[in-house]
Amino acid sequence: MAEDAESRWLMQAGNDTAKDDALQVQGLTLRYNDVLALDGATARFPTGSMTAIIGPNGAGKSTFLKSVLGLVEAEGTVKAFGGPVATAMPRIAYVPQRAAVDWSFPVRVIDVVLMGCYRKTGLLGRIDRRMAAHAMAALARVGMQDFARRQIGALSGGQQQRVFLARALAQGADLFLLDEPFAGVDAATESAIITVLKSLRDSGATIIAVHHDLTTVAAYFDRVLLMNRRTLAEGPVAETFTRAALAQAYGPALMLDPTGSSAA
Amino acid sequence: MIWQALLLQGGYNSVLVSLGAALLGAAAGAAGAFLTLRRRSLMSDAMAHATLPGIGLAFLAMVALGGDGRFLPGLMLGAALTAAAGLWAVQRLARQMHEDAATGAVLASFYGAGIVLLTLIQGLGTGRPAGLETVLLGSTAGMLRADALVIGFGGLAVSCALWALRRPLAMVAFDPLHARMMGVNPRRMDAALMALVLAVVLVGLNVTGLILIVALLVTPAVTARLWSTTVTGTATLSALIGAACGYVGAAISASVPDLPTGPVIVLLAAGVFALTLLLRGHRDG
Repeated sequence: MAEDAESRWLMQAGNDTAKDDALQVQGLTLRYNDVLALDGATARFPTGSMTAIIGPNGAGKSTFLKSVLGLVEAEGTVKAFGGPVATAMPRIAYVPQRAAVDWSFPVRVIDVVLMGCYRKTGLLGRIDRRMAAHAMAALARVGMQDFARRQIGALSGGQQQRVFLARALAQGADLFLLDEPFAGVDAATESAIITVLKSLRDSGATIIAVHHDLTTVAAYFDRVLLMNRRTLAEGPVAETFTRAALAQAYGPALMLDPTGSSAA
Repeated sequence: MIWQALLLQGGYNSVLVSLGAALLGAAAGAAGAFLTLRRRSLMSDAMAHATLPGIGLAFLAMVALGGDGRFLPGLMLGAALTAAAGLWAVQRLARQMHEDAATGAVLASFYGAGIVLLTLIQGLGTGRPAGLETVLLGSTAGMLRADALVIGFGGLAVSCALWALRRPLAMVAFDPLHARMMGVNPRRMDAALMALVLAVVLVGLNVTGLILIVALLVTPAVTARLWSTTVTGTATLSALIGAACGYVGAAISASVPDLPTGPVIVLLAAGVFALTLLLRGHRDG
């Protein structure tokens, strides 16, 4: 929509005030029985930025994404594009962790991608040729167009991850939330995914990814949210991804030099 | 006699019954495909067994009101009410225990209550209870024309509804979180699927009976899974297998005296499944 494009351009023009944020999270708190999974996590994600969410195991990173989307119910305020998340949902895409998917399901690659077009086809809507072409184009962007008719379980882990990114692309979103997109994937997939994500970012989309590999943070992302149930630090990689902040999150035993990580 | 029944030469009534059973089989096959993909197969078994007390209560109520205790729509209404109660009980109990345990507990308790009620009814000696036990294993012998029409149109309606909902149902079964993000309400889809399965169970009471309906819901579905790589393909093939088994089973049962319909249909479905295993072997996909 022209209106969307215009507002996106306006947001990109100045990137510093809160109203330019694609996503704002205030005091997100979630309690499982007596365990605090999230303890007032607060963060902002400027439009057109690419943020890595990092933190130790059990820090609530996946829960953070799901709570932001309202897929699990948490206390706190979340605003997407200045309004409630439910309203902005058509503009948000979510790529789940690979482990969360039933790979034996009888579904072909193209069918998975077409699921991302569901808002356009509607409840009883037919999938016409234009929709199928749209889905194929999304597959081509991740280099999987030759696998369209394969059963999803017959693919490698990396290929499956690319298909799920294609499903998110087909949706036509401009805010992408990804849960460990690089976990257990081959090098070819990792570079294919990061290329797509960077090109999305360059065209104005906002990328947020839970990330585990600290050595690639500086090469892949421009912002970091360091969390352990609550926000420990957030901001541009250069300022936030520091030895002191990492020691606070992971404990002093972590011997990683963040300044040397940009080589990756 | 069997060949006559199979070739639509067994008289208007038995043709109608066989076609009705075929449409029921199609509905059960299609509903079962979505049910197994959603991993809720056993829920249908609990639901089916939970119909029995409702059938007994409906019989008693209709006799008390001076009517025919075996009036099928009345029995179905009673069956639907206790089946829904059973489903609610499973979901309520599943908050405190695993769903399989909740399913088992509800299935056995409701079925036990139903058997007690049915035994009491047999002892009363009123309202012509003879034949009421056919709801357990099914019998198409001597089925009324009106009953066959209810079964046929019921099966057709369920199949049409499943066809219309196939995409959101598939999305919820594959990735419920993503479905929610796409504006599909998984809870509402699950409720719709359960309602359609309940319709299959009710319509199938006189054909397969309540004990074996689960086999007609599950067996064609798992057979079709071995042949198809898509949800629509699985559901369609499952419906075709179910329809064939329903048709042939009803015809055989109608021509062999005292042979209940349910076991015949289920054995046919099991035969197709065994044949598929031989031909396709075990596939992970």
